[in-house]
Amino acid sequence: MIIGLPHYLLLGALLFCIGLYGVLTRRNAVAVLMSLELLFNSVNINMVAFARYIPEITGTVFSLFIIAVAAAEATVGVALVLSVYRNYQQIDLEKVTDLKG
Amino acid sequence: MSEVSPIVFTLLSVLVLVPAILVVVSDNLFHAGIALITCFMGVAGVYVTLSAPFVAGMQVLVYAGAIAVILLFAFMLTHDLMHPLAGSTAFQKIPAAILCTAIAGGLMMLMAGSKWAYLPGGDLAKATSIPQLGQEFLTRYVVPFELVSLLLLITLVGAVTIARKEEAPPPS
Repeated sequence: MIIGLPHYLLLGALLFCIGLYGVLTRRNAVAVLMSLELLFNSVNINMVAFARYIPEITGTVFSLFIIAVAAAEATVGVALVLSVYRNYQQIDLEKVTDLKG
Repeated sequence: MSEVSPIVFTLLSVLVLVPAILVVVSDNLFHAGIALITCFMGVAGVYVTLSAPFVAGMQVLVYAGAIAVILLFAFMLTHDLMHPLAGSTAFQKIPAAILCTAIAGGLMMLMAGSKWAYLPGGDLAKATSIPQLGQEFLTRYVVPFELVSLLLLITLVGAVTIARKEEAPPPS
C-alpha cells in the first residue's frame, strides 16, 4: 500500500479531534492549553503533507509561521493563567466563572 | 523521491495518537506533559517522512523544547498539591466525545471523497529544499516574516507585563 496524501490528512484529522475533545472537556486551564497545542500540530501536519504532495513550498513556509505563532500564543496563555491563579488561587475552569452569563 | 513504508507510517501514527489521547485523558498533568512531548517527537518524525527535515528540527526545538517546557512550568506554578483537580468535566465528556467522533467521521468522508489536485509539473526537490525555503522567506514572504518577529517581541513584552508581580506602592 502506497502511503499517500489521504493517510497524512487522516492522521491530522484524528489528532485534531483528540485535541478538540481535550479543549472541550478539561477542567485545568493548563490542560486546555496542552490540548490546544495538539490542534496546532494537527494543522501543521496537514500543511506539511500538502507541501510534499502537491508539491508546493507554501505549505512549509506556512507551517513555520504556525510554529512561531503557536509559541507566542502559548506564552501569552501561560501568562494569563498565572495572572488568573494569582487572583483566584485556582485555575479550575468550573470555579473561575465570573464572566459566566 | 522515496516512498514511506506503511510500517514506519503506522509506528509514527501510534507514536502521535496514543500520547495525544493520554494528554486529553490523564488526570495527572505531569503525565500529560510528558505525553505531549512524546506526541511532538512523533509529529517531528512525521515531518521527516514528509521530506521536511527543517520543519522537523524546528518542531523539536520550539515545540518539544520550549512550548512543552513553558506548559510544564505553568502547571507546576499553579499546582496545588493539597487540592489536586479532577481531570475533566464529567457531564461534558459524552457530548464532547460524540461531537469529536462526528467531526472525525465527517472529515474522513470529505477526504475520501475528494479528488486532490496535484500540480502536473510539480518539482518535489525544489518544493522541499531548504535553500528554496530561505529564498521564499526573503522574497515572497518577507512581510509576514518581519511581522512574525514583531509579534514575538510584542508577545515577550506583553507576557512579562501580564504575569509580573505588582509591587506594593511605597508608603507615603
